Amino acid sequence: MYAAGVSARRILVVDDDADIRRIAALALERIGGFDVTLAADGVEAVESATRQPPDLVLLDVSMPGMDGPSTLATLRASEATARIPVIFFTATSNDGEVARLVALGAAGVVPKPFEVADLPRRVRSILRELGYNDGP
Amino acid sequence: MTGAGDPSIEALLAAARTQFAAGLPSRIEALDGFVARGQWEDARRAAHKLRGAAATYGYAALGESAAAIEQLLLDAEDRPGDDARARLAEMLSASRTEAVRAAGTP
Repeated sequence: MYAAGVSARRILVVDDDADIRRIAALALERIGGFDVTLAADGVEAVESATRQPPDLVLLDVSMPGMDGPSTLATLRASEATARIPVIFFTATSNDGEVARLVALGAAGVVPKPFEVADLPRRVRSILRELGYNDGP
Repeated sequence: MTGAGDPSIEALLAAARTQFAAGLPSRIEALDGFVARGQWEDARRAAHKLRGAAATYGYAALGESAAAIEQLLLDAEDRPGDDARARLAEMLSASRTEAVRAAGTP
């Protein structure tokens, strides 16, 4: 399903919390070397991913309106965005919740809080499992 | 909250942390407002967001306070009774103090 052997570089970060968007972008861009696009809600995320498909979406679970799972379902329903891997971001990361999110089609789950310097490593680890090269 | 030892990244993280801390009193005020108006689901969502953000930015105590507020509202199924509301008021007071302290600390 995913692009084996390709380097993933572009990440779309989706979170309704501006402070989380800011720190995630800082971690992924300045520490990880990724190119980051931000979206504040599910609708904006779908529009952005359709306009310029990222290599990966880092998606908050709990958002008002179109929540994370609904956003994932919408991405999967469109040919343009169906194959983009999605990692969920959540402050509720017990085993049951992780299993639920993976069953929905997530490529992985990154718990909040996260260690800023560690976020790029976590993302790269999941990308490697998907068959991507290590990225930038 | 570290930046892998790179001074320029450490500086950016410190600036981000300062910006976050400056916004904490407003976050607590918003949470306070939801509670005052009985908007329990909004209050729970705000506490949930604060829980993740505060801990990520290195304010563990405030993150725990927010987690406790969220859990109280979850346990009350977003319909807290008098006892729960009294505990909520105490928790908010503690969170407010913590937020003001964080905002005033470089």
